[in-house]
Formats: sequence, C-alpha cells, structure tokens
Amino acid sequence: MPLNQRIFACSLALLFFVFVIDLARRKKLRVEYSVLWCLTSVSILVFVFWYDSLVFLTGMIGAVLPTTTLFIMGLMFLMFVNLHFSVKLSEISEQVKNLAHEIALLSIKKEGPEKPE
Amino acid sequence: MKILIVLPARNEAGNIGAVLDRIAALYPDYPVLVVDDASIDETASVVLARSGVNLIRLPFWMGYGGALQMAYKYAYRQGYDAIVQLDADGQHDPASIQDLLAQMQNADVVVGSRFLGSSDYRMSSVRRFGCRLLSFLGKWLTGMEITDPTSGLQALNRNALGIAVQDHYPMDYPDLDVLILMHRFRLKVVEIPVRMAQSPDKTGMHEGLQVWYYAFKMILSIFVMMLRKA
Repeated sequence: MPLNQRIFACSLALLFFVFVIDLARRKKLRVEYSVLWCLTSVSILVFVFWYDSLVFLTGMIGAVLPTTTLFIMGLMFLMFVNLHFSVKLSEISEQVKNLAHEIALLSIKKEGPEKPE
Repeated sequence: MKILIVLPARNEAGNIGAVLDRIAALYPDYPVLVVDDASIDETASVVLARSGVNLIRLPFWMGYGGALQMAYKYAYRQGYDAIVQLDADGQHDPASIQDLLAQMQNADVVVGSRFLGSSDYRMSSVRRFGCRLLSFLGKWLTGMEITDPTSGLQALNRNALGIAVQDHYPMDYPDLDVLILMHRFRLKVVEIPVRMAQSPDKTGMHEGLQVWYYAFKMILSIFVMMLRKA
C-alpha cells in the first residue's frame, strides 16, 4: 500500500474515531451505540497497518483486488447496521405503542355513570 | 358474563352517533367503549354527548390495530369476560351482536361473515379475489373455514383477549393473521352469517397500492405467525 494511501486512510480512521468519541462525550450518541463505530475505525487502522490481512481476506473470498474486498465489506457492514436499526426501531415502536396505551388508559374520560352489567 | 361493546373510531363524527344510539336502544345493559384513534373531527364530542359511553382517546394516530388492542387491554384489565367489536362507520349492524354472543358458548372467537348464507354484498373483483385467496391460505395452513378474513365484526372471549393484548399485535390490519394466531393457541374460531352495509369502494392510485401492500403484508404476517411458537 503506497504511503499517501496509508496516511489518508489512517487520518480518516482517526478523525472518525475522535468524532464518534466526541459525540458520545456530548451525549449526542449513547456509549453502547458508539462501540460499533469505534470498532469500524479500528478495523480501518488494522487494514492500514496490516495490509497482508486484507490481501489474505481477498484471496479467501475469491476476489481479485483488495479494493473489491473493502467495498464488499463496507456494503455488508452498512446492510447489517441498517438491519440492526430496523430491529431497534421495531423495539422502540412497540415501547411507544405500549406507553401511549398506558397514557390513554390513565386519562380515560367518562361521561356519566357506567352502565350496569 | 361481563360483556363490553367496543368501537374503534377515527374521524367518524358523521356516523358514530347513529351507531351508538342503535346500540343503546338494542342493548341498554351492555357498557360501550369507544377508542378514538386521534380523530381530527368531532368524534369525541359526539361520543361524550351520549351518557354511559366510555371514551379512550389515543394520544396519536395508531391505526386500526393499535386502537383495537387498546380496547382489548382495557377489557382485559377491567375483567370483562368477552367483547364484541364493530366498526364505527355504520357498516356493521348492531343487531348482529346478539348472534355473535349466542355463539360464544362454543367458541373463543366468533367472526361475522358477510359472505356466508344468502349474501348480496357487492365488492370489487380485486378485493373479492383477495378475500378468496386469504380464505384459501387460511384453510390450507390451518384447516379453518374463514370466508370473510377481513371482517371487523367479531366477538372475543377472555382467552382470546389474553392473546390479543400481547406485544407484536399488528398495528395496521389485524385480520386473518390474528385469527391464525388464535388458532395456533388452540382457540376455537367460528364464523356466522351477518348482514353488512356496503362499504364505499376504494378507488385511485393510492388505494390501489394499499391493496397490494395489504396482500403482501398479510401473507408475510401469516407465515411469520406460523413460524412463531404458540
């Protein structure tokens, strides 16, 4: 890997890492959600400093160029992240629905006495 | 037997009054609950103008299933033995309530079908085909004979309520998938013939797409329900 590519990738990973940590520090991002993004930065750094691992992976998946491997991994990562967010969204929708039901039950309005049963 | 009559309603100010008056005339002894799904018209005022009708107002639009589940939770916690649900738009005749309740002796869920018996109910060919397809799917998967899988006129006993109050009850269209869910929990689902007023036929691009979304979502939901542990 040429030196300028290394410097570029390394800077990008570090900048991203600092940005994620700063978001967590400013309470814009929950720490449990920052772990995944921190690991992304670390993965990029691993490939920069241990380029052979990327070449090895390329051979394993049958790709020709390491850039292909990177694109495939990036795409897979984004797909899984989106799926993870859909799961979280479903969970939150269920919680919001249950909360709204509880609020509605608490604020039930009655006009006159309930009819005898 | 403690019975509750349930009407989920959204923007039904023009229709719900007549439905409530007819219920009050036919069944003065049954309590009625209206779940107002965040209507933007005068639905709530129309309901509150009638004495003895309980009203629950949802804080935001949750969909037909969300409003129904709200009623189920209320009935379940208040200790009702059974509920009868009908639409607030006047499509369902309150006179059918007694027929549904009569069948509760030998079933957990009773569905009012517009296609059983001598029916003159008219429906667009696409919808009719969809109903038949769902009926076939229900019979193929469970052996249940459901001729009207989209009927909102139903009676549920406490066993069925206990299942319907659980998480992941469909928020938009709880139809055949819920009946299959009940069947998976070994509850007995039966249909009886009822008369229904004609519902306005939906036309236009958006409604057309909704039909296809409904079909796809319902088939997916049915298969997911079949895969879940009862």
